[in-house]
Formats: sequence, structure tokens, C-alpha cells
Amino acid sequence: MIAYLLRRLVHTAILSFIIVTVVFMMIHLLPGDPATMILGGEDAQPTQEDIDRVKTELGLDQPVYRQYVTWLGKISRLDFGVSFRNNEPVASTVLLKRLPRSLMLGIPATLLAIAIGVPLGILGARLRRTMWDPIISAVALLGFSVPTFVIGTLLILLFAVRLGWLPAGSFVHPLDDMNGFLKAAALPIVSLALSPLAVIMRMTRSSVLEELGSDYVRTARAKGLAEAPVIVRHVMRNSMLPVITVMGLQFGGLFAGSVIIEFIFNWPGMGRLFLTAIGQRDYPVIQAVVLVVALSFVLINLLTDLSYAFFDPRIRVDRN
Amino acid sequence: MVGSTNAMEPESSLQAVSAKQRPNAFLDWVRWATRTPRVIASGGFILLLALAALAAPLITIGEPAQIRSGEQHRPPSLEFPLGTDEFGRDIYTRLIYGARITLIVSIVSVAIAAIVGTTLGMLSAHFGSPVDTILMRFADGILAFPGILLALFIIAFLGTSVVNIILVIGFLYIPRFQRVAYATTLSIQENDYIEAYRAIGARTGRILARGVLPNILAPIIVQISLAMGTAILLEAGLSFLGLGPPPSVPSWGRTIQQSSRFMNLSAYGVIWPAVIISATVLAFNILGDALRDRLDPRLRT
Repeated sequence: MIAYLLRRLVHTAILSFIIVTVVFMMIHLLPGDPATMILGGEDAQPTQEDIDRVKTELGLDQPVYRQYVTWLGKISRLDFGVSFRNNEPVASTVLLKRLPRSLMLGIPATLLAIAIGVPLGILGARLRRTMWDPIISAVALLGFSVPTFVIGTLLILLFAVRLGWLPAGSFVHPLDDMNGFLKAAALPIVSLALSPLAVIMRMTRSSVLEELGSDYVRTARAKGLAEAPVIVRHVMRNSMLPVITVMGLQFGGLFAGSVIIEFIFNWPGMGRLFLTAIGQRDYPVIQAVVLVVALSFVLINLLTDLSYAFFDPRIRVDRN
Repeated sequence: MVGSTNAMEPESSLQAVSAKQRPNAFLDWVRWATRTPRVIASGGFILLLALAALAAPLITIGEPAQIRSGEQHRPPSLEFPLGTDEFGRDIYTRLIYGARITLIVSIVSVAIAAIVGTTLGMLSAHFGSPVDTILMRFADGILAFPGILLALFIIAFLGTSVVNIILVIGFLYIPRFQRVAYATTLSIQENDYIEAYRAIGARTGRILARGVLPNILAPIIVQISLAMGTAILLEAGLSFLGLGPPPSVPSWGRTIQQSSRFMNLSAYGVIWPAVIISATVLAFNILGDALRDRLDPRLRT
């Protein structure tokens, strides 16, 4: 187990290093000169003097390898520079302000998707070859065929425009007003949860179906065990591996969803910051968001892999 | 037409016999497709949409961008089958023209991904490491990221145009085909008939094209149908965010975003494009599922 853990940690470290390097290289491969961009782009017609001054300030006149070393040192101290647009330090904006707001939607959405998706998937497997089976499968298929932005827009149309029950797009911090936060976040969370819910449900259904046909299930039933403990104690544990993989991927996919959902619901999280930064070519912000997302991906992958080892003892021993 | 000569007859009767013994694979397919309800429904919808997109100028009402003052937010009527939007433009006409861009982007990008990905996958399986290791790590790297984030990112730097979107989606989908081709080629290569190709001294190109490719086509076709569905989702998502095809093109995603600002006045501008995007993606997913069930029972979910 320790060896497995160490091996995974080394992999993760190497992967993170590659990501950091790629993100650094990106800015040097981009069309357009960052110094000109800071001074308002070509349209603002910055003088050569100004451009040189900014280059010196940012260290852009240094050779690339030295810039790379400086950059490594900076980000290891969580220093992502300042935004081109408002000169605020990027690290505190992204990590302290925007990321938590995105997680306020992302974490409840994930929990919702798991809490509903897993039981529905088990139910789907149990109801195989009944009239409910095709209905459940069809609903799941619909769930990941309808785009997130369509779900979000239609929910606004129904609950905000027509019924007027919930706000269409506002942000309330839960520490200021919990009730207001729940109202404002309800629609975005539901829109965000629907597609991962459908995927988790489909995966659970097929995985449980596979296990239900195995010998140990017959044995458990033969010794007179009730159906509930058969499912919960035996089938669940064995069928959760592929489901966990999907959960990990879906949690990562939530960032993709949050770009669109935060755009629709006017939610000032990391996804909307990313969109705005792309529009304004605010490179330090873009870099920081990409780094945060990529590294959380790596982290989630690591956790997913480690949970395999937790659920399946064979993995701890086999792979070395 | 060929006249009936005596010389032709033995040959044609021979064909008839062999057709009876070994049923024509193509006819088999047609029979399966026309007798499977979900294939009829999904395939029929896709076919209809493709035909409508091709024949767009013949079956629509004026230009998609034609603005009619005084005709804004009309409900569906004989004159405007699906109603009009906030500029009095005919929603039906815009959706049919939108289908053109959606289908062009998804078909071309999936074709690029399928060709490049399958080739890379077969090559890495055939040659083994280190090509194998490098190419498959690369695929893992791309697959680990959410598509739309990478797409947003690349589009932000390349700029928005139809060609760029096709290239980005094509690039993002390469690993899917690479993985499928890699895994299936690995298992196929163990067969004796591939060994036979080697024994007669066939070159790599011939082994892969004649020996391997026909036998890995089934899972690739399944992947094509599923990738079409997600490519449409991705294109619609990008155009919803304003990073899709230019504003002159009535792409479905952009239509929803623009009409959503006027939802309190009329919902038709949002509902119809929502229905058609969802139906199209659903059709490709259902078709993909059906194909998978027939071609590759092992992958059944």
C-alpha cells in the first residue's frame, strides 16, 4: 500500500510539473506581445519606451530560461502576478474569491448527482426486464443529451420568468444570507447536476447488473440473506469501482459546466472570471485559472486512484 | 443494361446460390436498420435533418437574417410555422440554416478525429513502445481535461471562425478514436490471419489497412455516432458563449443565448432551438447505443 501510494504521488508530481511547464510555454507561444497587451493593445498605440518599461517591470526582457526559473519560484509561492486589467493580485482573486464561489455550486451539484444517481441506477438494475427499465434508461439518455445551457435556460424560463419563484441570476454569499443563497443557488446547482447525474446513474446500473449475475450474489441469496443486505453489503462494494471513476471524471467536468452555468446565472465564480479574462486577454488570470483547474484535475485523479485501492484490496498488492 | 446472354447465366445463378448461402452483409444491415424501432426513429430524424439542411433554400421562408418590423415575437402560425424571434425573423428558417453549420462542423471535425485517431491508435498498437507510450500518454493527457475548457482556451487564442472550431473539436476528439483503435488493434493482432499477412511479407501499411482496419471498424463506427452527439453539444456550447461561428451564422447555441434575453416577451425563440439541439444529440446517442448493441455486445451498458 505504501509503495502504491508513493508511486502514485511521484506520478502526480511529474504530471503537475509538466502542466506548470506547458502553462508557462503557452504565454510565449501566443500571438501578440504581452507588454503591448498590458498597455491596451495595438489600438492604444503604446510608445516603444512604454513597452520597454513594462517589459523590464515584468522581466520579459530576460532570456526565456531565466523567466522560466523565476516563474517556477513565483508560483511555488502562489504568486500569479497581477491582473492586466485592474492590477489586483491574481492569486487572491482566483483562489480566495472566485474558486470558493464556484465550489459553492460544484460541491452540492456533485453530491446531488451521486445521492440521486446511485440509488436510481441500482433501482434501474433491480427493475430490469420490467416496464420501468426502458423508461429509466430513456430518462438517463435524455439527461446527458440535453446541453447544460439548455437546461439552465429552460429552468430560468419556468421558475424565474413564468412562475417567479426563484431569482434568474443573482449572487448571495451564504455567510451573509443563507436563505437568499439557497434561493439563488438552487437553479444553477440543479442545472449543473443533471448531466453528471445521468452519467452516474447509467454507470451504476450497468455495473450493478454485471455484479448481480455473479456467483457470490447467488451464494448470498442462497444462504437466505435478504435482498437489501445483498445489494448494500455485497453488490455495492464490488460495483462501485467504475462508478467512482465516472464520479471523478464528472467532478472534473463540472468546471466545464460551471463556465456555462455561471455565464447564464450571472454567478461571479471562476468560470465567469475565465470567460471575461479570455475576452480581455488577461493572461495572468487565464494562466492562474488553467493552473488551478489542471492541478485540481490531477488531484482528483490521484484521489480516484487511491480510492480504488481502498475499495479493491487486489490493487494494493498487484500493481507494483 | 446488360442483355441476357448465355455466357452470363451460369455466373448469375452462381451468385444467387452464394447469396443464399452467405447472406449479403449490406442487406443484413438494411434489414436490421429498418426493423429496429430506435434506429428508424433516430436514423430517420438525422436523415431528415440532413436533407432539410441540404435543401434549406427550397423549403424555408426568405433569408434566415431577414428582419420584419412589426412581426416580432409572433406565435407559430401558417405563415411562420414556429413563430418569429425578437427581430421578426422566422425561427423555422433560422433553425434549418443553423442545422447546416451544426452538421458541417460536427461531421468534418469527427471525420478528422476519426481518421487521425484511428491511424495513430493502430500505429501505436502495431509498433509498441516507445511510440506507443508517447502517443498514448498524449491521449491520456487530453482526455483528462474537460473538452470545453480546452476548446475555450484554444479558441481564445486562435480566434473564432468555423475552420478554427472544426480544427479544435477535431483535435480534442482524436484521443477517443486513438484509444478505441489502440485497444482493438492490440487484441486483433494476436490472430493467425495477421500472422499470415506477416508471413507473406506484407508491409505495415497493407497489414493495417487490409488486415486490421476492417476488423476494428465496428467499435470505430459506434464511437463516430457517439462523438457526433458530443461534438454537437460542444459546438452549441461554444456558440452559446459567443465563441462559436461568427454572428452572421444562425447557429443553434447562439440563437438560444440571444433569444433568452427576451424570454419574458416570448419563449418560442428559446424553446424551439432547445428542442432541436436536444433532439439531434439524443438521436446520435440513441443511434450510437443501438449500433453498439449490434456491433459490439461486450461494450453493452
